[in-house]
Amino acid sequence: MSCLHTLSRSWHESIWLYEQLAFASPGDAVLLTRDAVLATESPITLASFLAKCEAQGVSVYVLAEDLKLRGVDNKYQNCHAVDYGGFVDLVIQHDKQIAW
Amino acid sequence: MSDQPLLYVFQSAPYSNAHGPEGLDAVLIGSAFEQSMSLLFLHDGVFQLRAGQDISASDLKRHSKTFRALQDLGVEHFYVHDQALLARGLTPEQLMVDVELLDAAAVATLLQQQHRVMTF
Amino acid sequence: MKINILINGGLYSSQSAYSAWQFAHAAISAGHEITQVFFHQDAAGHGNRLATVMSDEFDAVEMWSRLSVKHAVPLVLCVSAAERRGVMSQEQAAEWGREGDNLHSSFAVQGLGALLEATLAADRMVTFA
Repeated sequence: MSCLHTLSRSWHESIWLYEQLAFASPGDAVLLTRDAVLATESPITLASFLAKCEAQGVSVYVLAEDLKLRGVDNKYQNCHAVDYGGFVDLVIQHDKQIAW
Repeated sequence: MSDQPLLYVFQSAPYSNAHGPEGLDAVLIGSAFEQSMSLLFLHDGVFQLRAGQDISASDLKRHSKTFRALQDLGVEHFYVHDQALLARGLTPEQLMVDVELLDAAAVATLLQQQHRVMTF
Repeated sequence: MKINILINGGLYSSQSAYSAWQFAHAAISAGHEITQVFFHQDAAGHGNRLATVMSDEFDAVEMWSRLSVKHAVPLVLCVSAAERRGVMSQEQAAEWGREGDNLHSSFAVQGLGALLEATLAADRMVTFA
């Protein structure tokens, strides 16, 4: 049993997305979509989140289309860019998805 | 059909948007499907359960009293994230229903146990 | 796999339904079946056939309709969410004594029970909030 957590809100507006990681279990995945992708350009916003994810066995992905739309460069190597086909694969690989 | 537990998550405060009443619509329909159902309140969603909501001087419909009726409709658990309550200066006694407090690890376990999770 | 999709984000006001539309195409291309797309909350506005956009804008109502026709994907509006937002079939308008109707022929109007039925029958559910 594992879960795909899709995040869509900007991390700059609210810190609650950091809190969400506490609700993830080992084997889960996090996919950043829409305004949540804005965090990937900041040198500090995602760093501690990604470190916590790695320690917790949670993998992190970012939707490439949403990065491109917003002109944002993903500065984090351990935050893997996927296209919609990759999004579909993540949905298939996990038992359920939760849209936060 | 084997039990496919459903969890409804409320994460927005009441009145400023329709997530509360339209989420409750989904919960009410769910009671007809004979699956176990639970509610989880995170973030500002804990304000949905705040006792003392006074709409007497308002034309708005108070959807919150519906939460109290849900226990009779097969909703087994009202879970509340303990830190969400604490951070907002609230205690379980200030809520309109009896709730079960969960820490973050218990919330993570709860999410794992569900068949489907719907967020409002 | 059988996948059902739930959309909550509004017509024009949110990226959520556009994202869901791209997801649906990718899922179908990968050989999966979209068993239902359910439009709840503000997303119920997607069934309004009078919604009109500039010629260079994404015509969400039309694009969902095309996807539905081409791949036999049922598009379902939540009945109460749609009525609250003024999206009605001829029958609903008559029932409520309203003049005119605006439901797009590619969309059906059903209760939230239809969402739960599809959810319990599908292998995966994806929500676009």
